[in-house]
Amino acid sequence: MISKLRRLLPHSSQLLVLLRPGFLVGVAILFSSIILALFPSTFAPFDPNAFNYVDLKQPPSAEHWFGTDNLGRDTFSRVIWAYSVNIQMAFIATIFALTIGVTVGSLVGYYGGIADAIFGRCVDAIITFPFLVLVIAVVAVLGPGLTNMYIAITLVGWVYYARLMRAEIMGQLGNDYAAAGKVMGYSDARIIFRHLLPNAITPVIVYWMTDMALAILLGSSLGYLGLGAQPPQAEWGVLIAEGRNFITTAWWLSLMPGIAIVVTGLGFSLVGDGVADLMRPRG
Amino acid sequence: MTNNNKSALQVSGLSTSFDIGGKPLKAVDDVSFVVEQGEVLGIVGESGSGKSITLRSILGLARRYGTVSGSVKWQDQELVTMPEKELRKIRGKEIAMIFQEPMSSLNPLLTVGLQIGENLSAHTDLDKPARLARSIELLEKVGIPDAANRLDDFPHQFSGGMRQRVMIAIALASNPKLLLADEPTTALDVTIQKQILKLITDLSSELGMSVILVTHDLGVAAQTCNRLAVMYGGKLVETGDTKSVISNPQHRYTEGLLRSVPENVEPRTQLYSLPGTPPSLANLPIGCAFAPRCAHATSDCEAGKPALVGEAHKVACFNAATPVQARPGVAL
Amino acid sequence: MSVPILKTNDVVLHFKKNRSILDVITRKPKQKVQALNGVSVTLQKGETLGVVGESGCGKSTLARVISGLHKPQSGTIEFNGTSLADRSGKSLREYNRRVQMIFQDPYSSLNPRMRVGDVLREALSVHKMCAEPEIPARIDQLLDLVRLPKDAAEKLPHEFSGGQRQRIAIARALSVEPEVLIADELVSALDVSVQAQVVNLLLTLQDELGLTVLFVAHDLRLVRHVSHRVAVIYLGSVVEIGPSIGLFSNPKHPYSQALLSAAPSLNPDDKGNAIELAGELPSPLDIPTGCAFHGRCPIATSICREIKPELLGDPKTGQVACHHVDQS
Repeated sequence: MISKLRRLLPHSSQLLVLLRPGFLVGVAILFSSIILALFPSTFAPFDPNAFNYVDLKQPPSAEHWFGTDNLGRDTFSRVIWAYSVNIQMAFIATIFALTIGVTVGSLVGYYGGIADAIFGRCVDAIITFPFLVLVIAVVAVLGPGLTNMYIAITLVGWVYYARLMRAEIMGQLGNDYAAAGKVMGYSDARIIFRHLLPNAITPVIVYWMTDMALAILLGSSLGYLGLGAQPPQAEWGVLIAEGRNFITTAWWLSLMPGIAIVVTGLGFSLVGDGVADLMRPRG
Repeated sequence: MTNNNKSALQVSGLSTSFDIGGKPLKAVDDVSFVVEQGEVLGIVGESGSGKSITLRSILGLARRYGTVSGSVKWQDQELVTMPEKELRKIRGKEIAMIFQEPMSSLNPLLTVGLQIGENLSAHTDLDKPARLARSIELLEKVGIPDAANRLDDFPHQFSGGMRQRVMIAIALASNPKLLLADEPTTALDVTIQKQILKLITDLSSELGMSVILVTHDLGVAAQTCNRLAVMYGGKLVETGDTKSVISNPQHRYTEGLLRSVPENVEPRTQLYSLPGTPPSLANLPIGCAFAPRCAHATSDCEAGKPALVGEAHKVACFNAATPVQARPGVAL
Repeated sequence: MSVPILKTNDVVLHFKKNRSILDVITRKPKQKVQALNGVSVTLQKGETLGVVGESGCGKSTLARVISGLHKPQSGTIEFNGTSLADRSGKSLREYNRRVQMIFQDPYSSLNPRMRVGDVLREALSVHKMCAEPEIPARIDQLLDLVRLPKDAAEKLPHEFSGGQRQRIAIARALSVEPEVLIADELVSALDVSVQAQVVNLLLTLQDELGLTVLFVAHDLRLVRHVSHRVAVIYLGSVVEIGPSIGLFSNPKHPYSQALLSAAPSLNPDDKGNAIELAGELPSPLDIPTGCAFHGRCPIATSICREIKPELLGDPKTGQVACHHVDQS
């Protein structure tokens, strides 16, 4: 297992990359986000769903750091509790698209031919439409809700991973080590997954990191539109939607979850850059 | 040896170093040589010897990325310190350069005619019809058939050998007195290589043009050059008349290089081979760069670098081979 | 006459060139890269056959066809008497084991993420060359065979020089104990002083292990030094083939003569026969009719334009494909 890990990280000297400030900030954000997602009750001072008819629409104060909303719920706690849903989004919305995309992309890139032609048309069909529009269309068919949202995003998103993987695999095929594998009599599966894939996957991993940031954005947008997470669930998009009617009077209701989205997205992005540098082999 | 202004180019103490991540990399280390008018000088070396950077340093192409010191005297003008604006007047006009990969040194988006024309507009006062006539004349001179019709073709419509000829045509456009050729035939097939080398030597004698030819191929150097300069680890290790250097190499590296070539050797026997590999310019030893591979190295060799000494045939070695076995089959 | 260990019979391989939309619209005819146009060579056990020619002549394609990377459109490849086309699955893997190849570019022929030891381990275990516990010892043996230090097994390819990487590639090829080794421009990408080292290694290994070698290269001096017999290829056809010494001292085909005279000699006084070839190498997309060489040949006549000459002569003394060469 350790040796497998070593294979993915070619140079211990490149671990110095980890000391770069951007990367460290990203890791800090990511780490704290995950902790908040896993242990919301530890950090949220109030119950996110507790109504409080006394302190309605209170601005940020010492007691309520992010103020309260029109039902007296503590915004800070709601934002904290939303972490578990929103961080979950980053992974669930991307991991299946990644797996399907990488598999299809590798096979299509390696074998070419008819499969590639069909794949090409598939890609053209899906990419023509703006991502959000297509996802909304699928959700409209399946019905609103978190699970259906994940299904919709996966159905549309896998194509982008597959396209990237295909290009990378085809690029690697230009290297003689692929031909060497064939001459050694190795099976196609071994050549594709043991040799080509590890060398082709770096851009896909980097894309994945950016995609995770975008997934949070997308999930929140759908939550805002009422197509993803449903109120009263604490989710940043839902929170922004809930604060929509009070922008002028209680600006903190929409702003705070908005800031959470931006900061978390930034964290994923910074980590993605660092990972890219780390995984690039030399030579 | 004449030392009047007939010497076209005088390089003395040329050094170029780059700063790679804090560590200085001395690609060219105190290189001095002279190129006479009309002569073909060959700079021979393997990868990492510094030969290409030497060429680029002469024309001021290296100073953007590194530090160049020393002196390069061209017709009594000092090129190392010359401001870029004036250097540009010399580049392409008095001193021209051709490169190894014609596909990447020719602009793929411009027709050949436009690229030759560019040189002519920049360095001559010819008007448009005169430039056209001269372009056709140049293409014919380098041996491109149907020249008039080829002016409107793009580089990709020419074969590799033809593209190299086009590059030479562009280089010759303003009648340069010195041609710098950086591995011009390495990427070409051997029959085409022969044509291109013949073209270069013919032009040199016809136009009285000096040539500095950088190559790693000893055969190319032996056939085309009047004098040779062998580089190793950024320094010149041996210079002299071609015949003299080849039949009587004094530096162990030159000797080893010549003997590594399978010529006049019994087939399927073990070739003479130099142990080890050429050093990386980032990790040069304090002493002679060749000492780690030299069978005759002494403690002097590890302490400091030998200077290039001698008369017509110079060598940089603390215990040069004297006398050395002449190469079998080559008379002096 | 014993059965040759490897034999190609009239192998033809054309690659389809991809057509752009513009080509389809302007109705340009489909173009094919005619890489191999009927190549027949034989390899006797234990010998080195050199294959020379300039770029686009098909020598690398021939190497790849023999190693199984490409399937020819027509013609057969026989290994110890049985055709390669009949093999698939397990027997094809067996062929791959016995006919190995080393590639030109030492920088792309090794997986940049695999350590040397893992590369060799993989080869040994996929082909079940030895029992699992014996693998580390076998890896040490292989590294020793190619004169690399034992600690090389822990390193990644980028930590080695070009010459060392070729040695690793040789070790990988030898790990499966092949009978035939195809060296496709083995040393072309290496420095001159390193080329000799790798060539010496190849010669030693061939003697020690009784290997048969197909040595594809464009460096004529090297080919002459290493080969027992040599084949000269021009635009996908063999124009001359015969014992190395004879062919190099007395080439019969005009192209062979031109090729040999073009190689620059180390002797400044030896200007060669100065045979000037007219014109450029034709493109393999558009091979001239008849004898492919007729456009550049100094002794071509009308028959050369019409009829492609056959490879005639005695294999022992040398064969030539030319209408104007005396076969006696």
